Amino acid sequence: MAIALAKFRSTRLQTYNLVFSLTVAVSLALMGLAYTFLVRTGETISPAAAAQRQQTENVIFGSALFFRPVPYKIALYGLRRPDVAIVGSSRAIEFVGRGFSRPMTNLGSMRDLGQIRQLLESMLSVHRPKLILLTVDFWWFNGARSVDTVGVQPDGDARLSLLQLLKPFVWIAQGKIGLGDFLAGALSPWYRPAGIGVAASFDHVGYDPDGAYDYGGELTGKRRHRDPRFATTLAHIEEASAHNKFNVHTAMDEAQWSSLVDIVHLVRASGAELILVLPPVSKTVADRLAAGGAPNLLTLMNARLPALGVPVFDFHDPTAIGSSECEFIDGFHGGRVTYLRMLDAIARSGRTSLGSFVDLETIDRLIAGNVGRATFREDERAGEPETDFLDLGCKK
Amino acid sequence: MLFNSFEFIFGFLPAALLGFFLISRYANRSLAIGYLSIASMFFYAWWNAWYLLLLLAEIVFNFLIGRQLARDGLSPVRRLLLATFGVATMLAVLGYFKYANFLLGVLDQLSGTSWSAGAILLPLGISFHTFQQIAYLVDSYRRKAPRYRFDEYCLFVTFFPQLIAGPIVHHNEIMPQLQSQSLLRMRPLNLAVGLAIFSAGLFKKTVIADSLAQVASPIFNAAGHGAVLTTSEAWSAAVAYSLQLYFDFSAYSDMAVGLARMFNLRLPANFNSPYQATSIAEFWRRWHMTLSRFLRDYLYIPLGGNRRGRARQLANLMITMLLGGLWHGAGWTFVLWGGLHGLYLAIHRVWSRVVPAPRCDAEARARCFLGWAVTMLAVIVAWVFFRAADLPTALGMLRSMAGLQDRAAGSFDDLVHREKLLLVGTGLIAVLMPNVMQIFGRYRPATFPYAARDWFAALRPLQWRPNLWFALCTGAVAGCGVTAILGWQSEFLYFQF
Repeated sequence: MAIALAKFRSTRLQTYNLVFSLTVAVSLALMGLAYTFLVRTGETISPAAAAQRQQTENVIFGSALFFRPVPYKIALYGLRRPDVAIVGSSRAIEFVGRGFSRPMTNLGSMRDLGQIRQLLESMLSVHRPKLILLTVDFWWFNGARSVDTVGVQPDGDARLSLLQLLKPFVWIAQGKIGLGDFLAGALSPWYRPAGIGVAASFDHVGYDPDGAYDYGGELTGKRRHRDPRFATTLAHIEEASAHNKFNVHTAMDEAQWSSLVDIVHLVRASGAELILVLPPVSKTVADRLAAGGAPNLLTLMNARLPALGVPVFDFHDPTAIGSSECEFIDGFHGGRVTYLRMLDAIARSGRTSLGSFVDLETIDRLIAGNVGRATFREDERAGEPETDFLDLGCKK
Repeated sequence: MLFNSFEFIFGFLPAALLGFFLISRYANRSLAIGYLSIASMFFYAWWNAWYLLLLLAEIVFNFLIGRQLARDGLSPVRRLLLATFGVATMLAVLGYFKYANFLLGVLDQLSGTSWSAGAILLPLGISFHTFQQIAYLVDSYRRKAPRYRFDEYCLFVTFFPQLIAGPIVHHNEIMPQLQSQSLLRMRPLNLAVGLAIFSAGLFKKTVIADSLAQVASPIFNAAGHGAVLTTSEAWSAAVAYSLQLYFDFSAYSDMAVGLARMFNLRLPANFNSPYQATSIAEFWRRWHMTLSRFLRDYLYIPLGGNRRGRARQLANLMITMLLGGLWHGAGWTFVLWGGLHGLYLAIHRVWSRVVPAPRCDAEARARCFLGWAVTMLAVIVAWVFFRAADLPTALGMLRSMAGLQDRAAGSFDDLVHREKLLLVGTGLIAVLMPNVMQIFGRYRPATFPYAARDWFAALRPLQWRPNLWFALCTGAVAGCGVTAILGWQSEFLYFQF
């Protein structure tokens, strides 16, 4: 009896050990595949290394797991040492190299004035551009707004968390990447993705080598758009609480204003020319923001900006530069054509030296050939035309 | 070498196990014990080879003093002098490495001088193995420690699972096991149980504790740089840190217990679901149990314990907890943390005389819940001092927690919102779920520093057994725990103590 019991226990333990080992082996193998895939697609690459590769390989950089614009843009700037630097938030990133006659770099994607200050200090310590074009967001001056934060994201090579390692399987289940792509990336040593990072490689979403942002699959209908008919943006404005950045019915935050004043002094002290630009929102959104009446954050900000003593260009209302809603990415972000129109207006104003850094002929040609579009027909990839992604009935 | 590293899991551990059992089988006991000691020293030297010499010197010094104390012909005065010399030397070494700069800083503040001992790198685990060896010296003096062989004593101190962050092992509970013949035979069940416990600990560290650190660290760091926090941010950080510390430290203890079990050894359990305690006294019978046992046996009771009147008892409690706080780190925040707990325990002692603690059955559920809530509030407030970089940071955090310096919106609102599920989920695990020792209770995974009736009280379906279901679960836990090493990786919090 005792022998039988011991034998039973021994067999049970052997079965346990076998299943345990298999489970560990399978889970480690799956995670190993996911890890290799993510490393080979460039998800773990450091922002500085990505910027370096972009300059030699002329590919876009778009990570699906990490968002580290500050070290990336600082590295990009150091490599390109441009004459013109575009600085600002995500509302600066559609200024593209096309149309410029001198080297430019887009350093948009900064979260707030604190990051912009950090970026400018790093920039100016390695190279002084001739001209800095800074886009200004009205919500920076809403002192009550909650700040967007992301988790700890190191500047160097990224380490992958367990949840991030599971992402490739989620993407396969969602159809964002194919099983073949995954296995090729994980198993083939000769795998060469189309860009750096999963978003760049599979959706063509990410930063161009000049730092401008390519919305890729979002504009071609490959991905469902996040703001059809500006519904999401309008809902945000409608529901904006006092803490929300879209709330315009609030007083100017003096600390934030001082930060902007300090930035202006910093750039002036460097000897670079500074232009301030208020980027456009779509007409529908502009009307909704104005609905509460004045004074609001926009009118308060506009009233104070001229006192800074630098050229200020207010493009809040896009109709002033002839941009239609079809040229927008979403309610708060104009597309490349809209931004080219802004460049054109600034260059022709004669109030700045921008005219000597751009090619007006190219700008005119690109605008004329792309009216009503968010991006340029000339840049379209075969079989991936821009669609009416905003569902506004735009002819593309 | 970290337990949560690939070099440990796939390199050191298999080599240590294989070598130990092969030598046990084909050579002899002394060689096997010697091999395990040398492997443990290699584990320690991986961090800093020079401090291995310090550790070895301490081991030889203590062993020789212990041997002398065990001799029959020594007069009581000489024995007392010898024991005092031994303990004082150990404390002097600990004091130099851990407290020299703190004490000189205090002296500078008082006298206006500017003395410094220079940059001193704290030897890893010095607080743990110093206490472990002091206990041996004191017991040798009390004639409660038998004569041990040097190789066994060496392994008792250096045994790698407990060397760096405990549990603080008592010679009485480990030496008989080291001397047992059953130590040398590889037992598949012990390997399976040990590996499963180690996997659970690894999961707690790499998946749970390190995720909680992503909430606590940025907020505490921002507070350290002068940021004013909202009430919700401050509470989230305090709760996240309270949970992080528990999952982190108990994970290390679980891993240590699991590793020891693979070598046929049972270490003492260090945690018994402390966040389920309904009083502060109960909390200390559940939190870092081997430290509180040491403080009780080698400080509180020698000071007189509760045998010299109520006032003296309260003073003894306060002294014990203040020194317990200082043991954790050389800084006023640790002293305050210890002082707070001393105060809590003193209040509890007085209160429990007036209102005796109820048995937590159905009738007393409301009172027990109230006791739990008050205990948790007190513990979380004290952890703020424990974690904060300095006193102003801790006080600022507490002001925010009390709603005295609230802001309309904070910089970490999104982070707090995004991670609230993590806080709630891990909080529920800590408060409602059985702990790892209970889950493995059927196999008596550890020795128990305190008698506790609920050790094996885990619901039967949750009790680990080597069957198919648990093989799948434990395998998945191990896979996740190992994989998460690829992510944001941190040292164990108690390494700094």
